[in-house]
Amino acid sequence: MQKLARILAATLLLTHVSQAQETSELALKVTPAFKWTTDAVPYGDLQLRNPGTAAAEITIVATGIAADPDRTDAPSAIGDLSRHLTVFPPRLIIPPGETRIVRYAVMDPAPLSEGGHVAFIKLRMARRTPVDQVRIPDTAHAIRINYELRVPLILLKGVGEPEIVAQIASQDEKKLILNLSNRGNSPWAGTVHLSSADGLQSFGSGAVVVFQEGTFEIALLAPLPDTFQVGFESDLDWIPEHSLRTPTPVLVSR
Amino acid sequence: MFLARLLSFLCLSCLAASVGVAKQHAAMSVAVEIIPPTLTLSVSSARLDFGQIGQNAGPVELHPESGERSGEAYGAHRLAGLLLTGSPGTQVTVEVLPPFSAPRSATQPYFRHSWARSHECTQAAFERLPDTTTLQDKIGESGCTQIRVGGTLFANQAPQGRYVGEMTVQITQL
Repeated sequence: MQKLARILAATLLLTHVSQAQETSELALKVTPAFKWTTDAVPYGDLQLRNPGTAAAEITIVATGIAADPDRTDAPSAIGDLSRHLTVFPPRLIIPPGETRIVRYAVMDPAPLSEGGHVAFIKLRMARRTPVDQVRIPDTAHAIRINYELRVPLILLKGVGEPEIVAQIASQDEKKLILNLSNRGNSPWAGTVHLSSADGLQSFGSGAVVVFQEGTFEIALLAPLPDTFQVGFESDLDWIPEHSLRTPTPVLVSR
Repeated sequence: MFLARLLSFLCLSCLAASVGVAKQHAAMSVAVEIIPPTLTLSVSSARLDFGQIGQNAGPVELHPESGERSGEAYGAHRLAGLLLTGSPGTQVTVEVLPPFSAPRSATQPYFRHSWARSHECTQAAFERLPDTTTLQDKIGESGCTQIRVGGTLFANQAPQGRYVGEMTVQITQL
């Protein structure tokens, strides 16, 4: 009888621990969530904070930007920074309510070619579960979800020269979907303005980041004419000044 | 005595001049603080659980807009959920890398994800999203974007047993 009571108590305790783990919240705050820098400052740090109620186990890996198979002019393409990037520590545990610093450095940026080089720093987070508390349902069909926050890190060597081509993907009365492809050597970030060919009337604008190619939706303030101008305004709050050329406006016809 | 007075006068003059310079500097300097972009990810569930499914059950679906389950399955079920918080209007890209590679074979289970979104911070109505693997969205006026992930599991001809898969959800501020 006493043994049965012990088994019952242990089962209740395990169930309680398991339920407590499910109800505790896993969370991660990253600062900055996007970073532009130059080869003059090829290092920095990320601040990771755990605002949740569960300990978070963070695993960090860096990946580069996928090569565009349509590009034949490879020497002027956007570079892969991940091969030159060191991140430390690559793995850490953040207790609830605490903050940790992760440092990154670009090793030997001198051989990098002129233009923009991109690395995505992936912060994969998982619930920190002691081994003796792992409990897997016996016959359930379950899919575990891995959550990753990706921090784009863009290093500009010399002057980045994005070259953006705009095409209409689709359009209705309320919105325009633009396909922007970048043939230059650097990503671009800023605001895209739609205006009349003479630039006097505005039809809408939206903030975008273009790496190699992307589709962007812009809400329309008024019906678009058959030919309109797509203008670019660089986001100089974040991009190091004089390091990135602003693309010239382009005329788009429907 | 005269020398002491002269010295004190000179000291006062220097002090007045330095205060003047300090005031001038204070008037000229402009404090500009650029707050770096931040993004917070909170996870309400890191598991997509279909519960117990019979061997010849048809497709079982976890509906992301309602949180309900349909199909021949029993026991508890669970959908995956995440909450993104940041400045309203911040652009984010959410990408799902689904498990179980396609094309499916007849004897292997197949999973197709589905998802829904809300721009509220708390419990709210979810709007079903198109069946794509990438979502480009803006953080809502409330400072929040919630995404609930469900999906359909086709395990009709698969041998009986326990199947466990992994799916990755990537969130980028763009």
